[in-house]
Amino acid sequence: MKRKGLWLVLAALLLALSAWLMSRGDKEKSTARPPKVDFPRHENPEESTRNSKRRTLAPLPMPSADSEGYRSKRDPMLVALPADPKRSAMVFELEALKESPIMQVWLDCLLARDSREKLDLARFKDRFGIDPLEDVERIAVSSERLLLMQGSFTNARFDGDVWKRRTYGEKGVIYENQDTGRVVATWGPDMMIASGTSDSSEPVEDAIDRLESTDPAQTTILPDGSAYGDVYGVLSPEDLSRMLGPDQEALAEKIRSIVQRVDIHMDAADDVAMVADVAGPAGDDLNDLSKSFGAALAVGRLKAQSDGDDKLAELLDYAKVKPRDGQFSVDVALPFEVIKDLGPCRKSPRSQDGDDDPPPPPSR
Amino acid sequence: MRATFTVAGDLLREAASRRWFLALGIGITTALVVLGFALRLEVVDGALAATRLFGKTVRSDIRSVDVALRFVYRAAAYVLFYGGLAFGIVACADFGPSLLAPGRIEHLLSLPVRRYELLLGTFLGVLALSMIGAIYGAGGFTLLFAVKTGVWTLRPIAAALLASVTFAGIYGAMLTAAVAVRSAALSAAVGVVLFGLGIVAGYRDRLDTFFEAGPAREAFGAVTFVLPRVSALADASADIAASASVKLNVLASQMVGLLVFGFAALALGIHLFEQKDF
Repeated sequence: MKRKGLWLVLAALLLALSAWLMSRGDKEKSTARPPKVDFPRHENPEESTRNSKRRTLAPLPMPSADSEGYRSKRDPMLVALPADPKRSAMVFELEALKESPIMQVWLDCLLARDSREKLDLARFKDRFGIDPLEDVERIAVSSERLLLMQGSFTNARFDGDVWKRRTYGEKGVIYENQDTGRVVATWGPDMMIASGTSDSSEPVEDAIDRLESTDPAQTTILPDGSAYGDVYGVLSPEDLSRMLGPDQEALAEKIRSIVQRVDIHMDAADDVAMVADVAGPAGDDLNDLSKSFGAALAVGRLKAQSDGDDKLAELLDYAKVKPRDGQFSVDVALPFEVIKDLGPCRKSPRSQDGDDDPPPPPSR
Repeated sequence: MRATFTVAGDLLREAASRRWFLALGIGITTALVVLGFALRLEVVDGALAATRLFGKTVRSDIRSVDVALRFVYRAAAYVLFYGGLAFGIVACADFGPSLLAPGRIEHLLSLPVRRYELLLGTFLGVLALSMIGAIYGAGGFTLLFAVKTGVWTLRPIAAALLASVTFAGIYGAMLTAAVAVRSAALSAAVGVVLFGLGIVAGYRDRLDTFFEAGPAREAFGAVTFVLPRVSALADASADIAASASVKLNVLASQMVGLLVFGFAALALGIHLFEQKDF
């Protein structure tokens, strides 16, 4: 009888033991979820609301009196950018970027490196009445030597002794520095335009002309629907090929000869996620180029793995090329830890040799 | 103990002669051969650049080939896990009742073999059978993709073995049911119920919020506390196949827990078996 009950007792004990062992995974799952990366592919509801508020420029007239259709208001900053498709234009949403970890670290580095930058920012505010960190909402840069800023510039002031003032168009006021040749303009209370070329007010005047143009055929380099992400814009094939290293001349040549346009959208809310839409004539050449991009990303991931850079390798898991008719998109995510040491936080060769004390590591 | 392995070996021989397992073997082999001929993968510098199935281009992203294969292996792991469990429950439900068939059981008990050795041998035989099936299916699948892409990994096979362990846990209860009532249908029903409840138990921490705090939630917690976490192990199996990082201590605890559950059910079965007169 005693032996007969032994199996029953053993069954009860084993059942209790199994329940305890299995319950260990109820709260703590056996697998760790990889980081979630959100690639910017379309505007989110907040960006949609923001963009619609920014469309303050009157719609263009219809091409002819008997034309039917609907034309909506336009975003002045996108209109002011040069529309030449062979040029690049990038927009940086400073308001959003200020909140991003990478920008906070870069700003910390910028201000901690030495006091010069801090002084420059303070001096700029004293001199022009503008705080670049508070008053500027977004900045657009065009490779056609033009810089646009949108924000609150009601307090902007230009010393009349140095800056020669003249009006241009309906709302434009151009200031030319007599000493340095710099040309800056304001257009209304919230737009500032700076020429990237000294002694030339032409880029600024052209921008104001575009803003005040009523030509029905006017186009923009960035359509309204493309204003999403923390950084967005268009890269010309020339500029993109220049970004590649000298060892990738073959790929650079392919880009120059095949690619027509590259739309970029970046999100820096946590790690940096980028989507690049590459457009060109449909065919084998573009197909081969997409494979070259895919292979380059795969090689980069393998290199990160062999270098022991687990975080980079993990994020490059998300890297992919999506071919479509006449275009393909490239998704790449870069970890915060990798890019935080770039830009303003890049150590100088001296400090890397240990000759110079590096700035204190910024807190995230 | 030798008698236990002899019983297990007999079970494997019996399985080999059954149409169910013959069909499974032919099915897996056919699927692998067809896939081998129909699937074309173009790999460029470590990136999966194009996929063609039955001559048609499958629209897919260009990405690192091992990353692309993760999705394939994950899907295959789920199919192997749940498909294997379902097949095993149906195909193995008859082993217990046929062991206890009148005439056969008396003959077996007249041999120098203990009753617990008979049940343990049957249990281990089924465990071995499920492992052989898992290794053949997952191994063939992995080998096929390894030859086509150059990515060699044992992870899908490890994932399939996890399914075998899960099935062993369920089969322990099925065998005990067969001892209590010599019925293949009841044995299969117990397997199906445990399979279904095990899926629920795997998500018990999330599902308990559907019950109001109080006796209902307590009862749900108590019932699912002792059940095998089938879905949790299926997820872990897929994660292993897809090269996701796995917390080995937690997984090992769940796996051992499930095997112990199988042995607990088996101990109950042995207890019932010892009570019976043949």
